[in-house]
Amino acid sequence: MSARPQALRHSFLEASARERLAGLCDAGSLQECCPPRERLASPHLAALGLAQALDDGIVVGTARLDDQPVLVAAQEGRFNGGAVGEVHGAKLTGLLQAALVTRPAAVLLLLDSGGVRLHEANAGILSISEVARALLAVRAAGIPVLVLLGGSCGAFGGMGIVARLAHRVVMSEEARLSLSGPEVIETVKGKQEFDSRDRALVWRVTGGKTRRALGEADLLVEDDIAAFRNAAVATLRDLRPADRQALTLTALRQRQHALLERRTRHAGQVDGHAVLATVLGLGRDRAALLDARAFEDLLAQQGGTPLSQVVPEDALSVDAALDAEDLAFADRLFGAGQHQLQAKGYLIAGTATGPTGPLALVGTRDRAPIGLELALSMAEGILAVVAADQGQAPRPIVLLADTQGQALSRHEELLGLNGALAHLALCVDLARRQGHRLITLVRHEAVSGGFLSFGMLGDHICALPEAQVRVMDLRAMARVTKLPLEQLEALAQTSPVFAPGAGNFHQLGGIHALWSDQEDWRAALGVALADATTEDRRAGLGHQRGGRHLAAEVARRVRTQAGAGA
Amino acid sequence: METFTLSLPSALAATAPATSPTAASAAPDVICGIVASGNLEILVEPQGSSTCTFEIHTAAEGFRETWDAVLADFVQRHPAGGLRFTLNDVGSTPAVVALRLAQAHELWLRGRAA
Repeated sequence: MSARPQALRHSFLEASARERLAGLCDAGSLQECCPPRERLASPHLAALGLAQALDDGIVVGTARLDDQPVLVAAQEGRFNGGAVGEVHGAKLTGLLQAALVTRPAAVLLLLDSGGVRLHEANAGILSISEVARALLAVRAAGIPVLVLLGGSCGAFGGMGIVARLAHRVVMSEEARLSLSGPEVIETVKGKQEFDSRDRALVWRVTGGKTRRALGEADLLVEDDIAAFRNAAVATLRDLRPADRQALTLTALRQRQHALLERRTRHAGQVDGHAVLATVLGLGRDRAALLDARAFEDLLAQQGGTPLSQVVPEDALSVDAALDAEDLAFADRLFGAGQHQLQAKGYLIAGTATGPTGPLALVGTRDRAPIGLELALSMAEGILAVVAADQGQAPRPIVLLADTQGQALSRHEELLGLNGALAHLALCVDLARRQGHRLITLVRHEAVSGGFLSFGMLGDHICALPEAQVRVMDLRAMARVTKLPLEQLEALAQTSPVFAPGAGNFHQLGGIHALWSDQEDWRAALGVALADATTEDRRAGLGHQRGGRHLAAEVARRVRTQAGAGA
Repeated sequence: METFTLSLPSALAATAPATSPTAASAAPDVICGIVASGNLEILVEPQGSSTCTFEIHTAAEGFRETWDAVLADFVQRHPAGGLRFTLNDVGSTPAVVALRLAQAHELWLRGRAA
């Protein structure tokens, strides 16, 4: 009744990136930008003696969908797990930037990625950050962005966050959407936390049905390219004008409330069974038997009634005086008596008198692991500043980043930590669009996911003398890349695109300024405020400083070929 | 990684698909396969010379004789003169390489017919 016979389906999962696009777009309409013959392969893989792909694992171009002009991108999950390196990311960034000029009916992103390509980790995470910034700009411009997930890699790491920045996510049961990979959690936290070899468990935590039930995905479809095409057409047709508009303070507050509610409703859950039981009232095995249509039908029946009258626990708010170390830091930055900052746990927030007048500060302290609670608390803090400044001059916001990375736990993954971090990013972007200048200060540590959705979104990013910036624990990196730990350790000593360190990120353009211990930090903050621009200049900076030779040029080429001029 | 380029004589392939330079640049690239373990990607392009050129990048070192045999076999079976094949390989077996070359060649012909 619902689906065509199995034999007539063309599996999205089994198809290559090019086959997916060929089946998704109107026949023959795809015009690829920077196609394989241009040989934009990754020089960083070559430096490691690893195989390159002529398109660096991503197809981007212009096409038509249902006779509407669209921009499309498809990551090739089978090449290095669809991981994002400098060139790969720059192609995606260039495509999104082109959308701002050519204003297509939609941008379709067929993501299939494990996240940052660890072989060029620093360039990779910066690339993802640039993709996120470009996507936020496209979204703010009212151009619909649709993410389609049906590949074997799903969307993990930074791409799990990027996926949730889009207007809508369509996914199949076979696809996955999350933040930290199960292998990473298992390596750091042990098998009892997340057994990555238990594939059924992995899909129950990160797979399409659980994501759809939670609201992390907007539509579940069968693993069929035609089904994805139909879903894309229908989803775009059904987007209301209000859905297309840039997100407002009111809309983000509603999202914030919904996320807090969801967190309370699913408190303590560590398995997708529990989520499906809560949302759909389904027993252990029933959910697995439902096809996509039946699952959607059931969800629609349940959707009208509140499942439980949850009174969500509030986000954290700061209520305690700073400890001696934080106080000394704040005194040095703003001057004694010039700040009213408070803390609670890993959260720090408040106001201060900066070099140019009043400013607000929101951030993390004590090398925070960023989980749902902290992400939502920071989002709340940002929204509060935006709300307080309605109708008056928006104060600059100092984003204080001190994080060991995202919290690693099965519960956090199950509840969609990637979605909470994307929400945080949307709130930070709202602040920017409302005229708040955003200055990031990296204090002790800034690692991966937690930094990506917050600190890396700053208009001007400064690293304090003690700051360490990196992507991932080397042991976990060794496991994911299957390179020997010793080789990675040796490599970390020499390679700028790979090795941890604020200096390397500075050279790549990811950090605007390095502050020294001798410097007057208050004055340096003044310089940062004067220099801050809302435009993302990092790829150009990386080129100027000799750290990233390709990102800016590749993005420019894609823009030109997509018809957006240079 | 091992990289080498080899040109072999072969019967002339159907020449470049272009009716005009503009049409050539608008035509999609002829590419097949994926750079993944036990697999390879192959890009087919026209070239000025009438021989068939292979540019091989392979992760499996020390199999030059096998490559020579597979490529010699391919240029005998298929008219590939005037074409350039770029291969990025991650340890494909000879059978997989032969299959992909045939597939790439067929895609080239199909693209020309279209």
